[in-house]
Amino acid sequence: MLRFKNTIKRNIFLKKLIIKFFYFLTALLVLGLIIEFLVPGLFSLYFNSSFLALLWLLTAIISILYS
Amino acid sequence: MILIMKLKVKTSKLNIFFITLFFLLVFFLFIECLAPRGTWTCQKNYSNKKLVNLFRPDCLTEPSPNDRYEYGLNGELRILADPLYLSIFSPRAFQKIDLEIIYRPHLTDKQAIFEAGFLADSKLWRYQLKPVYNYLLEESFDTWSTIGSSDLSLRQKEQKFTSLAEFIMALKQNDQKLCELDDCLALYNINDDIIPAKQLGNILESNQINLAYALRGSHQFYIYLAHGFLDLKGSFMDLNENKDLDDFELIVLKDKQVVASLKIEDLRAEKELSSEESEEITFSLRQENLATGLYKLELRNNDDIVIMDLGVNSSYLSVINKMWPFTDEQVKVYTDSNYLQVKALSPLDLQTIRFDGIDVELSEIYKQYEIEAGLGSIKEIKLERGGPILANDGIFSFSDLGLLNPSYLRLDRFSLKDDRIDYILASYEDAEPLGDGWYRSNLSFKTSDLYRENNQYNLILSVPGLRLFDNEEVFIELKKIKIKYAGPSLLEKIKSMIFSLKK
Repeated sequence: MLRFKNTIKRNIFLKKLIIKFFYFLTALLVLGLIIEFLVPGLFSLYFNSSFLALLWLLTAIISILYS
Repeated sequence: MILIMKLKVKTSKLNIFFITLFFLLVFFLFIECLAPRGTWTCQKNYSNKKLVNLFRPDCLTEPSPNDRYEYGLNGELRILADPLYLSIFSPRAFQKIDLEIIYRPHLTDKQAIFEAGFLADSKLWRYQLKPVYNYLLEESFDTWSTIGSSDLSLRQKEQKFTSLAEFIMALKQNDQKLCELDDCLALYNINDDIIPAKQLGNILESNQINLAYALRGSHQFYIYLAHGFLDLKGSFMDLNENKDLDDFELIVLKDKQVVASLKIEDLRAEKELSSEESEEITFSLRQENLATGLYKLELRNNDDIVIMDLGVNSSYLSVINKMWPFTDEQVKVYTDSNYLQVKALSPLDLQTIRFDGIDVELSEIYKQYEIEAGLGSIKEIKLERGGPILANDGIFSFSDLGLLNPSYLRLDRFSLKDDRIDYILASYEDAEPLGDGWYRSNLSFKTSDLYRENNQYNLILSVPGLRLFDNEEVFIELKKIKIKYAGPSLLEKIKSMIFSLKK
């Protein structure tokens, strides 16, 4: 864990990648919300929303902890 | 400094990557939703479970109920009991659905028909079913001489006619050489309206008929109006046992055209799910200038509505296919079918039922009991009290003279025993054999006739008479289901919009 923490702290690029991925997931989840409202079932046909939400939460926690 | 520059370049590349990926996904979902080519396919291959379908993975849901199916050794879906329901996603409305099924039937004379279809009416739970595999036509009646094509074919026990036109003419003229007994013609998968109407025989003269027992839920009746007008009066009650609002709707049809209708919305004070019975609500409907003849009366209600009384200026009030008497008194009704399906929904409804002299004890709720009678035109049904749902493919009436059935016999799983049948008129395409007992069948449906909710159609796979644990050797194996929606392409739609604007 400490090693992972140090790696992220040292590797600015990885930190940026996680933040960008967090933004991407946020945009994707908002898109999913809009699409499910307009065409129910279309977004969930291709994406597992629970898995996306879990990834979003992980990236959010990592970017808050190690920024 | 150089490091910071490099990082900035990498970050901007990351931005470009994620933004591009996001817009590609938006574009992909947009295209999937629009289906610009006018087609959209959903398929499920059950035979290879290892092969995960990444493209449109869950467009076809898992079947339900769970206990009516299992997966075989190679992953094929086994239908063990009737019916099985699935939901299919459709991104937008199309005009046509082509359904392809690859299956291996293990059927017998008693469970002979495999059909598939879609929900057409969510209120009355009517499905539009089409034949996938008919064991009777493929095997049992295969020795009969056949003329015609798959669109319309005639099978004859003894060859008397050489063309379909000759047969239709004989039917029209009620030719004596056609039938020695009544009802010698059975239809399969064709509408009565493409052949001459069945002769109704002697019509009883009467000015008024009333329901003998209160009836629960939706019902359909045949009535015969002899005096050029409709005068209908009755009353109903709301049980408020389910959560939906209980509107009362009544329509009268002549040759599938609505000639009179009545709707009473549920604005009653009693709350749904309260089980508080409403007061008896009366209704009446009068319509002048109607032609003399046969009409269909439909009561399109949910199961909370009980028709307490119904009186109509008709000589007949024949209940079509399903009857749910709601009374504590003894019930005595008649039917023209040679079988009866009975189901009790409450322990209070368990009792001994008599059908054509055969006593059957209803000892389990929600179990569908099936009683077969001998041949004969009219059979008596006796219940100790109302409550069980009675169903078959025929007509029920409150007196033995009140059976008015304008429909020809239907070819069903009981037809093999029916010696009356000399001719079968069918619209049936033989299943395409693929070897090793597997078959492919293709069915086509117009979406305008089907019910779609939340971008989903409800598919039903039905094998009438197939029940769990009855006979373990009777089942259907499904290898593949493919659904192809088809309609106008985006370009065609734009063109038609431009043309309509110009006009």
